[in-house]
Amino acid sequence: MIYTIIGLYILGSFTGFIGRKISYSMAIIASVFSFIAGFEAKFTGNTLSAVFSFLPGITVGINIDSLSGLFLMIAAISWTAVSIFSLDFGNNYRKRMAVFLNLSMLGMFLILTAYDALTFLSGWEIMTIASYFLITEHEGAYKEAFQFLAFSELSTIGLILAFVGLNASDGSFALTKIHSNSVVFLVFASLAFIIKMGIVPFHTWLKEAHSKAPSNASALLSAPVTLMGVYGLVRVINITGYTHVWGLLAIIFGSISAFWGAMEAAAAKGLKVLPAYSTVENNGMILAALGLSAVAYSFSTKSTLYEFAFLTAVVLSITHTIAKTLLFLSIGQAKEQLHAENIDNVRGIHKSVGKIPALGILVSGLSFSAFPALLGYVAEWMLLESIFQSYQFSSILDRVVSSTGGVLLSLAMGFASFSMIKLIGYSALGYHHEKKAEPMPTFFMNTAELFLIIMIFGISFFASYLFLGLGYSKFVIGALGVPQGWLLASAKPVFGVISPAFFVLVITALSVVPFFVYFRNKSTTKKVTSWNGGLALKEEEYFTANAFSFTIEHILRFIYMTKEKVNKNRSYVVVSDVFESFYKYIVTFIKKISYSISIFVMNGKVYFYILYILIMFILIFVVFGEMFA
Amino acid sequence: MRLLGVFEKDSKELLILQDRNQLSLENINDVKEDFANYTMLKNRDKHIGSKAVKGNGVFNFRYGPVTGGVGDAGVFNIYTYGERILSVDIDPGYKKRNIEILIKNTALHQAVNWSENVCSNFAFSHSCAFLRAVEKAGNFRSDEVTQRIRIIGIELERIYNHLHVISRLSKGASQNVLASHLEGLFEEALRTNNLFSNSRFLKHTNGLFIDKNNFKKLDEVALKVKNVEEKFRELYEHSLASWNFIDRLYKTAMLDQKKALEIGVTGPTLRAAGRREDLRVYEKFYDNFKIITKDKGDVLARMQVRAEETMLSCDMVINQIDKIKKMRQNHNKIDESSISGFGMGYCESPSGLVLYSVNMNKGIVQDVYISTPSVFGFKAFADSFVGYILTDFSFSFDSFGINFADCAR
Repeated sequence: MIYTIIGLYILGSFTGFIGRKISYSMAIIASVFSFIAGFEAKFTGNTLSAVFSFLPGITVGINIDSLSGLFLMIAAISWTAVSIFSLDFGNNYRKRMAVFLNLSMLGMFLILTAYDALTFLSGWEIMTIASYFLITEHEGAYKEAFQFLAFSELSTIGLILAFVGLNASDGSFALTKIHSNSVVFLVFASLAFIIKMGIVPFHTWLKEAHSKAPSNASALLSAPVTLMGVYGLVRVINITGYTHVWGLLAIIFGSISAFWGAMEAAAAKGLKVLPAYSTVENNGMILAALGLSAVAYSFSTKSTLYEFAFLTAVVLSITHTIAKTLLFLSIGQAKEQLHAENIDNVRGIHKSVGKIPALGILVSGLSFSAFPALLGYVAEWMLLESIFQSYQFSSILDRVVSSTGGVLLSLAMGFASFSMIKLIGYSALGYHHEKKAEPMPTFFMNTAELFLIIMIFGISFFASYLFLGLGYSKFVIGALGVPQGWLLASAKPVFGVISPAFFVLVITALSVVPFFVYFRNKSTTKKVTSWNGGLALKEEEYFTANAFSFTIEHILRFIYMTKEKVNKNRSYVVVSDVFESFYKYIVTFIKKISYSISIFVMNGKVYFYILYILIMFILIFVVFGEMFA
Repeated sequence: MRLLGVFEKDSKELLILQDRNQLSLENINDVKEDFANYTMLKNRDKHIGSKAVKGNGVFNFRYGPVTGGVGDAGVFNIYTYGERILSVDIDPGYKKRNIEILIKNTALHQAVNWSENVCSNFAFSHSCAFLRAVEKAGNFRSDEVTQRIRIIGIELERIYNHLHVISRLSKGASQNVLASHLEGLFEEALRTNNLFSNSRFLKHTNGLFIDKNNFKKLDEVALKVKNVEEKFRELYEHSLASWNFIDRLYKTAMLDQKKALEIGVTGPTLRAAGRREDLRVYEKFYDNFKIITKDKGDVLARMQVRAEETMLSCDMVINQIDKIKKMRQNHNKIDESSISGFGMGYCESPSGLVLYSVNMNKGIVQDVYISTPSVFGFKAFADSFVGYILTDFSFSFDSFGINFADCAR
């Protein structure tokens, strides 16, 4: 199975040069097999392994254990959808996109199934380089692709240092068991993975890369690629065990990241900038949940909080991966067919592009807004329940950190709803402007979107079965008239409960009568356009998405650094991400320094070059002579 | 020198100019001075305000023509990228009734009716300005009692208008208790008008000769006015103690004196900007008149000017009633059919100067030009509101005491 999957991805890469459809089909098959492999490892307990000795003392290979299996299943759902979507979407791009899509998935597969650090690093680099080329598929996206590469390589450096630390602690590169308490490994690996997750202050690449990358690549970057960071962190915890300080730092960074991401999303106007910041927010929540789990574990293993918080991180990861893939694919279809970059310019997707992409934006957006009956509702309920249960902590520091983090996370949820309502309201459901969408084949794009929509509803409805399948039967109960096995509990003994399935059933039952009355009287229902002062609305009279955001941009102007540029006949508002400004400053500074050095070194004088070569020659001899002495 | 009107006659462009209480009609070629409000006055029936602003996210928040919050039909094109107001362009055309055309070739009493119908809440001011223009055209003055009754009418009109404006801006600033009390007083003022003239809006009362004997309940009117004044004084003092209320009005929709003079605005808006100008000071029968001014030019200053003028007007009504009661009136009937010639007349209405330029021929109106305070008020509002936020709209607009009917005629 393992070799088949790897072979299919490699074959998919090669066939990309021949025909796109074959290549994407290979990716679909490999992704489905990946899901099956993950399912087998997770639920049957069979560890799939293909390990061999690479050098004396160094064993490399593939090993799909229960943890790998879980994340492989989550990622494979996204890969499958992206591959199906690309069957139509890929026609608008060059053949090599199919090559890099397969390679990127292959890289992620290797990461998730790596037995050892070397295989993991190989997968990491394959994923990074393939993703870089995927971003460059969009014309003029070299700057953004390079920024992605810079951050990715920073995380690679972190990983190399971490694996050196891991090896130094017990002489092993294995990633499959608890065997090290190396601080170097913990610090550098965590740093590498939070960079990949786009945690603040390492989030700026997400916005840049997503807004420029082709939409199938954006979906891949935002959902499964950042999921690799989550998997990495969980794997780190698996190797070092829970650490109290790590947990506190994770809550702090996670909650700040969630707040920052949600707040920036609320001000975003770019069609793909908003979901990009939403990714920063979601990954922040996942990190905070992992942090809560670590702190709870340090507090007491008797409490079920550490298990529930970990389960929260898993459910948040599932939610984010599926809903964000759906959001990027649906938005991507609209963006491609309408040739628009801003939220304001795609209004009325339901009419101009189609009902299914509009439904995709609606369902994913509502899921991120924690709308009941959707997967995001379950995930965010779990996160809030985890925060509420932190009252158990005996340490003042733990309480202060968890409650402050809780405030930031709650604010993040509010901002997230605000931004998603903006996105849904202006793009999927907004007033239609008679803008014509470019005709293109949409069968596979719509199929991928429908597949993900069903997943969001389905997993939410059967959330209790997910809990049971993941081995958390203690959080599945029956009470308050809900049969055994259909009520989710946040603790044992019971702290808080919900039943997404029963919620759906009750809402459906209550909706039957109003819908019946509506459809019965549909023919006699008078429909009129909304009153707009007695005149039809002109194009320039529609309330803009910018205007929707301006109130909070003004109230929080000290955070957004809001600048109102009011000129005589042209006015606009500029908001900045302070971290982005910081990186820009660094880039400008480094450019200046490197320019000065280059002028000094490359001055066009031959004798200077010879002198430079001589000095370097002597230095190398001295340094290496000392090292090997 | 202020430009109050621009119109064409016999292919000549004529300007109506005002210098204190002196009005003149000049050919544009004979006037050397440039007036900043010339273009605005030429286009007063099409749009008043500033040009559209463009930019990323900027849209036209069209308010009107038939929308809750806009009293009568008209459109505010408010350009914004959110709450911040970037530009305001006002279209008063929806309320256009062509009264200047309808008034042509009508007899005097019909013309007075038309002038009252320009805008009901300034009905008495309009009829006064028109009749004063007719008096100038006929080169005569009405008798003293008639003039003093007109003063009572003008001041009663000022009282109820000011009460209404302050009530509206209190409501706009969420001072619902104060607004309710003021609405009660406003109703009381309307009932007082009815007691005085059998018309809640002081219509069908004015004329070249007003018979004192038609006003039987002057004592009751004086008593009611005194009552209104006392209650209003108490409410006003209370309102000034409300920090929340004052905070919303203070430094909102500010209009400085220079800008106000450029626009040509008159009345409480100009006086709230610090300009000591009120043409009532030149009128013969206003005894011990004093001009009320404030210097900030914001909503609060405009409210303060109106509030203090309300109390002053109450005193003036009571004094005029005292005087009229002691006076005898000569019943000199004026022969309307003998009135011929050109004249201009004005009246200091509750919101500024109303001016009529009239040509009469044997008691028939040949042509008329009407200058109303709302034209200048709308421009003042449009300019002063830029930079503020949409939430301030209602009380900022109400503080000018203007309306589309008066502007569009």
